[in-house]
Amino acid sequence: MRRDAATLPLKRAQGTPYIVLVIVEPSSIGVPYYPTNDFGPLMKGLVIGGLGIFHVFLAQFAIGGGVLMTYFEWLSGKGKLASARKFTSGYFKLLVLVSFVVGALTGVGMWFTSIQTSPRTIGLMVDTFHWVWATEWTFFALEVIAGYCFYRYGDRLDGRSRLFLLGLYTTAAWFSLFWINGILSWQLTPGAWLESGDLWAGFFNPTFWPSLFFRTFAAMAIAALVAALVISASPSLERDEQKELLHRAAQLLAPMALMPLLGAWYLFAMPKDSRSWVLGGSPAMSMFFGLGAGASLLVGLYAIFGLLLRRLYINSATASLLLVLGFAATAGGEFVREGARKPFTVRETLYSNAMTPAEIVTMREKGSVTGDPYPLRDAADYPNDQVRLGAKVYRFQCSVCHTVGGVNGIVHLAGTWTAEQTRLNVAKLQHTKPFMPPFAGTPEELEALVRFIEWESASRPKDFEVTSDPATRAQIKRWLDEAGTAPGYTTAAEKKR
Amino acid sequence: MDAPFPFGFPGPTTFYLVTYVLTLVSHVVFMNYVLAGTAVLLVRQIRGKAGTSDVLADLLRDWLPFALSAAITAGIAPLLFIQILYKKAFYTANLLLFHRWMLILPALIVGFYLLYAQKTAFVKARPRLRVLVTTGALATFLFTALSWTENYLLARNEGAWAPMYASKSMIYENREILPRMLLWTLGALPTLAALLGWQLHRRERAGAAVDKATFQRVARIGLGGLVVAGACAAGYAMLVGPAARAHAVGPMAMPWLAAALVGVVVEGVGFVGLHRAEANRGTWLGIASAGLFVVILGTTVVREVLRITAVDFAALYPEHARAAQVSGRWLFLGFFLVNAILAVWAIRTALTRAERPAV
Repeated sequence: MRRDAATLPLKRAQGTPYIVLVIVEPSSIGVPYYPTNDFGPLMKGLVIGGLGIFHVFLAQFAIGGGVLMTYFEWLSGKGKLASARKFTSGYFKLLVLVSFVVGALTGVGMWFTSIQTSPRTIGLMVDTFHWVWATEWTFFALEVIAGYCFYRYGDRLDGRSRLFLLGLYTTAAWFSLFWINGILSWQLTPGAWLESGDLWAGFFNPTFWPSLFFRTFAAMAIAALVAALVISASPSLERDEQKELLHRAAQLLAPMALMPLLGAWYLFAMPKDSRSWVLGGSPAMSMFFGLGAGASLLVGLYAIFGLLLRRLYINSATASLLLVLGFAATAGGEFVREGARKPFTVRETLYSNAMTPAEIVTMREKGSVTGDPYPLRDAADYPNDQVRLGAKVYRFQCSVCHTVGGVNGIVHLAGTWTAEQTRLNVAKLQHTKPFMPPFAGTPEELEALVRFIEWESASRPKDFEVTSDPATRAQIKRWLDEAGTAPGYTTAAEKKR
Repeated sequence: MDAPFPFGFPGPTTFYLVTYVLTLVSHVVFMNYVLAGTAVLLVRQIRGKAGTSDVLADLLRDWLPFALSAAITAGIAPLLFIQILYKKAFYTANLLLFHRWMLILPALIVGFYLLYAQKTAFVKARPRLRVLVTTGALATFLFTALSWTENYLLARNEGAWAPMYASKSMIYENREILPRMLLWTLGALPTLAALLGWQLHRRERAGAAVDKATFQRVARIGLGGLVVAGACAAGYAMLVGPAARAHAVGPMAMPWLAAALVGVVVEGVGFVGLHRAEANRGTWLGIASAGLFVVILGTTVVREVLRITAVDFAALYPEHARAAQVSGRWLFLGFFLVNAILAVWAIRTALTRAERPAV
């Protein structure tokens, strides 16, 4: 996609503040407003994160499973693993039943959930990468076709044909990862795409390769862990067969030894501010990073010392435990990947509340919900128009990451602040917490949001005073001007300079 | 919009429309097999006698899980292009239907596993359970069909968005929904008949005995489907109102509507021939399939024309133009070809190298 100066998202000019320009959707059609759903006490991020973790785990199992079965089939063909075929057929049926069904549908579910969470983000991703996605689809289709051919005819095929189908399945599955990895890693590190708009500059971005290698090894590890469970629970295998199969399957865990290096590579390829959230700046992210790293470490150590060096036999209970650790590692890693993008969903292009940097400038003047065509649900429950306006501002700007009183609830976060403190903290939101986007609205909208938070914190009283002090508005305006519209991490970087 | 579809639009819009329609057609073929196949399987299970073999039921039980997988896989491509073509409308309909819409995912997962459960010895051995399992699967697919119908109609009707949001309803009420769903569901029968016919034909060529009555049954499913779907289409046309009717017979859709009608005749001839044939069934199936392809393509285009004319489509042209500036289409076309060749190679390997099971 060619992009001229008018479409660059955020460009640093010599000695000037950030120039914020238009991207994503043309200004001629304005900000696209979408109906916003209330997920109750659940944060939207948790919903998409939960499904995402589950899907990634299954998708990686499908890829690693292909590698494992191709390896086993090759060993069988060489006469090095007699029981391989017996195992492979059963394992592949499990893969088809789990991955082809739930894996495929949760993949579609990721699209649908992304639409529910942030339609503009998924819209931008589709606009930018639809041909990459379409290419990925051709590989996914090949994966399904080769997989079903093996599933239906594998038992009646000669070794060479089996190896061909498994190899084709595995290659297609891995390339599916290859393409999706480029899109996902672009969200955090769009790289030179930000300047040039060149698709391939965005696709082969700074975190592309570490992420690809990391995910490949993770996929192999997950497949080996599932195999360990299947092997140890299989009644049709003799103990010696199980030991031999386990040892061979564990070889796919060996590349985990490289994961610390790949993890470090990934971390250092991240933007500095994102890295700082992971490494202590954000307790939640640091905790999940620790969970992911710790679980990976435990699996890796057991695999290398127990399964590979000492050739220990593991029963199904131990195999299950290792698999749970593998899932925990996936969960930790995915949470970190999602969280580290803050305050953006696409770095320097689209904020986490689906506003472009340019739109924030406009909304500071014209208001963020002035053109929102969707009315408040239960509008009569609110005591006055000011709180109603605040509720709309909350819905438009905050509800993608926050709830009112549930997970990450604004009442918990800001309910104890004084009015002035809330005004200041929201006006300078990106400096209050640098992983927050700048407030995008007028002083009136900000004051309305403050009153909405206070009203909710006061357990929604029937009567609630309307504030209209011009001095307060003027103060809010000053704070908003001081804060500017650039992301908070840029200020921190400038201070250091 | 006075030219036949897909002409009369800017280049990028035409390109995405054609890509969308073609990929949607491939999805519809498999979707029809699943929807009509599950319904036919249920009917045969209810009417079937214990201990008697039923070639059609066996075929369906065996192939429905794969067909569902194929339908989902083929459905991903149109799902991608619909986001380019109608981004805001599609996303808004998704959001308004909310949990109702998202329920199609667990529903399809349940339906998928129920189809697999059909193949187990445990279910096969229990006639009542068999019927229950198939009923469950059919219910999940009908629910999915209902949800898609609602989504399509809601996306077309921008005036309904804000009131529906305010009402908190996750059910879009529109008198077109049920007749429309009935039309598409019954219209799936001829597709199933053609595909089942080819499966039986292949079996016969492989040396298995398939009696004439089974082919005739398939032909009757196809002919019956054409008749009832035709009646539904006529009823639906009366219901949609003069504006939509005018667009359906307007310059953009008329050639495709005419083609679909010709396709129906060709398909009918094919199925009648199949019903009568003692030999050369492949020829009659070929005729029926050619007609079927034209019918699916024609009706899919008419469906799209009705959407195009219901929304402010011209306002979307700049978005299509901007999306078309993104590079990567040659990459897609290249890999599409390579992977299609590899897929054919994989299928050929499986079909030609596998030892034949004892007939």
